Amino acid sequence: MTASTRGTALTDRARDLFLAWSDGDARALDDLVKLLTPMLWHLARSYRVDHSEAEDAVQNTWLALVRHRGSVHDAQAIVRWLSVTVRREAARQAQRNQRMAPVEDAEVDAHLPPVDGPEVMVIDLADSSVLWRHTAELSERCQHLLRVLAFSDRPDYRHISDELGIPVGSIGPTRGRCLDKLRRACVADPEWSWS
Amino acid sequence: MTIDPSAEEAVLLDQLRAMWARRDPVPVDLVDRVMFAVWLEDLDTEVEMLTMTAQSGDLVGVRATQTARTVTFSTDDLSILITVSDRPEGRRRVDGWVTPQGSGEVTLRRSDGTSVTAPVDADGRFALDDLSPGLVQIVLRRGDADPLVAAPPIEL
Repeated sequence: MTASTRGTALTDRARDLFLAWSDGDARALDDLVKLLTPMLWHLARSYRVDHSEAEDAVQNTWLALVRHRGSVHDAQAIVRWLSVTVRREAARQAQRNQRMAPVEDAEVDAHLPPVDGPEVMVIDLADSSVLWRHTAELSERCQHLLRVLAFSDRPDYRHISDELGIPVGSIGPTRGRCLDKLRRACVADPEWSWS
Repeated sequence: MTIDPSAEEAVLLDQLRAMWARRDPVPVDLVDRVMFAVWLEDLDTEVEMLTMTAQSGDLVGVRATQTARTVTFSTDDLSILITVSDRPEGRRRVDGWVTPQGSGEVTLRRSDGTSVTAPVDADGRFALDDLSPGLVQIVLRRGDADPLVAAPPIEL
């Protein structure tokens, strides 16, 4: 299943559950939480927040939905509403942590050493896939952008632009450069296969 | 540029998604805890949250081997002490004492959305038996004018 068909199926399912919940089916909210919490977790974790901070961001996002459900006028946009909210929550926390690198420099080609999120990303070389190794070699900004894009359903470039300090028009090219760099590194690696 | 880099990009993004899902997985009980939190928020009624103020034995996380564990949840003016004991075939029993004493109703909600309810007697005591293990949340309802009182989820 490709990223786009996966995204469409997810969006449609989320819309149906949101509508059922709005019609008074409390269990539909549980199903919506089950469906989308994994995606929200990875979006939160793409920021420099630790496990418990990411959990708080996800939980606050769901609580915000319950409190402000009236403000979600377009059920079709529920996935985006939640994605934007969790990224905002996590970005705010990351800023509080002051771990986020300054964002004046929109160039991603500067080869920053990989900076690991707290608690994770300790690379066990004996157990590291080719993809993991080469992803870890990308700049932090590339890693963040790719993780957001990998877990976003129809990513909203305007919000990504605000958060990363990259002009909207640069996100596409930046994405391309990050992926291209990763692809070249993988392809050049004798251990790599596309399977 | 090689042949059709966009197709390779899509494959790479799919592989990245799978990689992060494996390397930094969603915490096992996050979905359950979120479901408890949104359920309370969705009740459309005032809910007072208790905090865990004392416990003996391991009610959260790794299961203890001891047969009884106690935990106390409190606010400034109310506390609930519960004892969880093991029953045959992996079942659990919960005995509770509400202070200040007074009758009411206690509901134990499981993460799958099902719940069991038991009366709280005039001495503030309640008991729930033959429970399946797992993450549960205890909610106390006293008089109609009183807010619901909810404890943070615990592992039975």
